[in-house]
Amino acid sequence: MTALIEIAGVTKRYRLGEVNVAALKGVDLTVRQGEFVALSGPSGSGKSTLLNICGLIDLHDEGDFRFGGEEVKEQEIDVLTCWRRERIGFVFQGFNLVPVMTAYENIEYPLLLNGTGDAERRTLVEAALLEVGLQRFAHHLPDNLSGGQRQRVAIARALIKRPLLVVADEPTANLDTESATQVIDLMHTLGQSLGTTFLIATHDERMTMRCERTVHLVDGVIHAQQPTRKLMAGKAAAATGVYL
Amino acid sequence: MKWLHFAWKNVLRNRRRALITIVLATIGTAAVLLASGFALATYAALKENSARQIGHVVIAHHDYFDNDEETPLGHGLTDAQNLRTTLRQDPRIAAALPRINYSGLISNGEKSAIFIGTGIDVAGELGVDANALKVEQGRALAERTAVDALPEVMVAKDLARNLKVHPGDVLTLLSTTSDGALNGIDVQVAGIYATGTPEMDERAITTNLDSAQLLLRSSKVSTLSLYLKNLDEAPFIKEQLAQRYPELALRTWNDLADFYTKVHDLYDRIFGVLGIIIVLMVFFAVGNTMSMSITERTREIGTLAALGTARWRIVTNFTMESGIIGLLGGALGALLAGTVAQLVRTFPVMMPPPPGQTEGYPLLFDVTLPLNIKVMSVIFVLAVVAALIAAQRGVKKPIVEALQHV
Repeated sequence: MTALIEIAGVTKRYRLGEVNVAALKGVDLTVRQGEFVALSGPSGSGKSTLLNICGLIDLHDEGDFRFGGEEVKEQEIDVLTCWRRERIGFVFQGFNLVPVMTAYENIEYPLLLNGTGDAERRTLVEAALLEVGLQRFAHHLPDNLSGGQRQRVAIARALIKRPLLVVADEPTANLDTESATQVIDLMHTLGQSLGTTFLIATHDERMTMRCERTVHLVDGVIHAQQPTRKLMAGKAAAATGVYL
Repeated sequence: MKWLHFAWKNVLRNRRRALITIVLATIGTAAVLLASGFALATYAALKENSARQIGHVVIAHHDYFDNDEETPLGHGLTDAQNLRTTLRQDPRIAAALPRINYSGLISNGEKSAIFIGTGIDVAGELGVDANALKVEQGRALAERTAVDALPEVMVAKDLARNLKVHPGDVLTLLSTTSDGALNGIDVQVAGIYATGTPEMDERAITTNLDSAQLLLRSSKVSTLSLYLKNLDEAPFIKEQLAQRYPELALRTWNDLADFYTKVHDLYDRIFGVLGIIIVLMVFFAVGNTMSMSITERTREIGTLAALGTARWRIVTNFTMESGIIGLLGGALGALLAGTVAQLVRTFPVMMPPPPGQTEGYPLLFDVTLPLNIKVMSVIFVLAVVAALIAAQRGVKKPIVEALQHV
């Protein structure tokens, strides 16, 4: 599989008052097309920063970042906007649905931006509503939906345009266990069926377990990067050792 | 349509705030429309009045307007009757009325006063304006008097009170003739009238044209006032006549309507400043509403930008919202102004006499369709510009910062 994201020596600094804080310190990461990758790590480890950079809503200070084989830093803002519109979907911790738009309209929004025709839009939105199991709630405003339902609308919105990448920042953090499980299953199923790359910042182990690979960040540096299966096996072995 | 639909939903998002802004825009629009409508109605009334009193185009001797006369009718028109006959053949000219302006002393035998007189063709004047002489006592001048009867005069009300005269009384008019001699004639008071201005009420008299010529011992007239079928043609006809009669001086009504010009200038300034203040208030009210809305929706702006919405699209969405507010405010303002204008037509409200006048006038608002369109367009454009400024600032925030906004 070809690499969708190629990051080498990426650094990002923020200015907090008089102090420069390095959120990422020379990160190297490659994510292949169709891969399901979890970003884990404690708060302040740089997960969200790395996610924002990969989602093209923030720019790195140093290093190289190629998205779909093209150097990001060389692109104009309008080009990045266009890439986000066409190639990237977002799922936020707080759902970030537009409150005046119904579930249907929220899902439809990226297609409106892309200039998709009325009939095609209707077909795609109805199919997406079906996929996320919200046909009955199509004309509900976000305020009238539960947290899990809102996140399913957000997932449908992220996937409706068939993006290359979906960036999800703590998608289950605001959900109860049942809703979180549904959202995890949904993301995994849809991701698998569409071949979409998922980059998910999460503290949720159930989510991590469904990802092929886990990238563990600590203090802006990739501390460990290994297949989730292996990571979990290691954790299990460590737990058994402690028990014994 | 979808974008407009979203804009409308966003307008309804904070209904109270949107309603207050729309009400402000409504009041602002109505205020500007009513102020402008009042000014336009005043201009129209003054224009009609001035043009009626002066004549649409005035023809005189080439020195009449610019140089003082040494003797009465020194700069008078010599062959006015022929000129009048010729001009009346022009189908665009409804009437050509000769007038003589003169002055002198008026006496009742016991008391004398200075008068300012006008000699007129009574039939012609009443033909142009049946209410040309506002008779308060007695009657208007007769078109023809018996051969042995005295010439008739109409005396302005305050002058009549000063001289203690009543219709039927006999007075003496004294004036310098066109040769520079002194002449006097006896006249009989036909009626007492109001001129509309206090100064003229103390001095004015009106006589028949031939009575004035008899007093001044001249066959000349001061001016020939042309009344056109279409007042708007006055400048064009003036130019044509000026070419045909280069030896004469011609003026249109507004060249001579000093009061009209001054009131127009004054009202333009007063209502112009008032309009600017009101429009600025609407501008800042809409701007403030949009700023608040944009600040509250910073996170949403961040989300839309993350989803790939171009900055111009986000700005356009906000300007559409503001445009809706401006359009609604403008339309409701026009409706309100139209209702008020109709109400004062149905239930007349009299205004007090303006300075220098003795008569009040009905309050009217000339809220025309072009004025409505103009004011509504201004309100709409201002609302859009206010949103444009506020939204430009809103979308400049980095996406990550916007997404973290609480």
